[in-house]
Amino acid sequence: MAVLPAAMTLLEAAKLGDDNAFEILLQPLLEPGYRLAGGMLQDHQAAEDAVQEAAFKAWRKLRQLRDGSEMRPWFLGIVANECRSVRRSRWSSVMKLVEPARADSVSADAVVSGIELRSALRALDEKKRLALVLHWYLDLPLEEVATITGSSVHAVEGQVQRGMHELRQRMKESHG
Amino acid sequence: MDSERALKIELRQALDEVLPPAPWLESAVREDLRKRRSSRSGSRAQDKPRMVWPRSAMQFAAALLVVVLAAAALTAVLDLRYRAAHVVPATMDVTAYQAMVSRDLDRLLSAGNGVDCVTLQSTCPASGTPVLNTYMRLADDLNGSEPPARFAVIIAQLRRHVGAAIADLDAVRAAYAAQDQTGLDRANYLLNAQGVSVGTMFRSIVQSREGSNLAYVESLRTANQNLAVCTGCQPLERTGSVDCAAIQTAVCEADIVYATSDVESVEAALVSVGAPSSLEAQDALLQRDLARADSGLLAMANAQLTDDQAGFDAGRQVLQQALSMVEADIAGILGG
Repeated sequence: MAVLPAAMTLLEAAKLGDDNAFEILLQPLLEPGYRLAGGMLQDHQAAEDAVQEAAFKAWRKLRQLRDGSEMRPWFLGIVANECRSVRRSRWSSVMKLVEPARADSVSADAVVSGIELRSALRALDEKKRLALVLHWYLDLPLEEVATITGSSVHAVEGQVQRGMHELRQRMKESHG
Repeated sequence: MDSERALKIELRQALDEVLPPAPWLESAVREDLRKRRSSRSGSRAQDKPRMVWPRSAMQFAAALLVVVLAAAALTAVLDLRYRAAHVVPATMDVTAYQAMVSRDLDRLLSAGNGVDCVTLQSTCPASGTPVLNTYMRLADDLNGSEPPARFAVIIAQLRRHVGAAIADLDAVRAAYAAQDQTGLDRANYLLNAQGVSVGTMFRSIVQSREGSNLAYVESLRTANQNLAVCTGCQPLERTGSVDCAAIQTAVCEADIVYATSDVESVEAALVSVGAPSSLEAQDALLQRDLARADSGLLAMANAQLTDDQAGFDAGRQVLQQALSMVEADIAGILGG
């Protein structure tokens, strides 16, 4: 997918220090960034923090984005790195005091199933979890997932398949 | 293929459930960016030439800083020891103790984690002080009163973690003074982890209540989910060195922090939902063994700071023994 000329102009302007141009470019990336961080961290406050931090890092490193490269995979790569740091630092877990309220209409079975699935996803190794979240939750094509993760399309395909298999296994085990 | 689609839909629903829409995110990010751009640390490093101080001046300032901080730390340690040795602790009841801990938790959250001195270019001399004062205050509170029996084990661990956090702050300063970025990274990483440990433990005390048999078992079962797959524990438990062959590698640091997190989740769960009298004896054994595992991990983290391979190995041995006992303790309670 080629970068639109208009986007190139904005990108050039942003690289030259136009902060408004940077914000315009960043705006459509925040929602996918939040979903990626949420899928990886399973905590909405930590996800917001990760996106905020990633936005700042993106601003600082914008000049490192190669000409002709797309901003979305580049930014999502920064978000993915930030999620690794959040998991390591864990300070946000101290600040987390309130769990999000669940809608009353959700059945008990669905709640239990959701908990089990999230737990199974958490237990996956980071590469498989990242590939599954990007491909399944964000609906990104394998090619873009490969760009974000720095892997080949073939490798990503394998991670998605193995991740799916492991998820199923873990779900079966939890159902006894 | 259909089952793949079904699993995909289920996964999306499961994640959507913990991820409410965040319409404020855009404005929050924009606001944060503006604030940080205008701050000194937020400037794009490559855009502006940096003012370079003469090396000799930097070294002199660093040496001076070390002397001042060492004197302050020595005074503080002596003061703490004096108080610990001379104050006869009074026993507090559960509610009063929780109120004290709640105030301490508020102070800790306000002070932050103290990870401010992250690069050699930071304005480090001022940073860390509020957090050091907070930790000193926490140590005072913990040493100044005898905890109710319900909190005895976790308070003993908390004292160790607070001590470790103070040592990590000293290590941050020493690394800064020595202009050692790697040492600074490592000390900050451990300092951050100690902050989380202390916060988790404090919160469990504030929330503590006696649980029914069912509530206690469920709380333990949930907390044990992470410990059961403890990815950080596995390389640390294996005989012979694997990830931690060189004790000061980032992977090794991460393993210790992950493992500590999983062990502490269970420690905290046992305090949050206290054991009913029918499970008191088993709970006491489990708390003791978890505390041993936690102490083993603390010893390993401290050994990393001082590059002490023997101390690291000793801590690892304690961890290995304790974790197998923890596993048996938990199986006894959940299976019973």
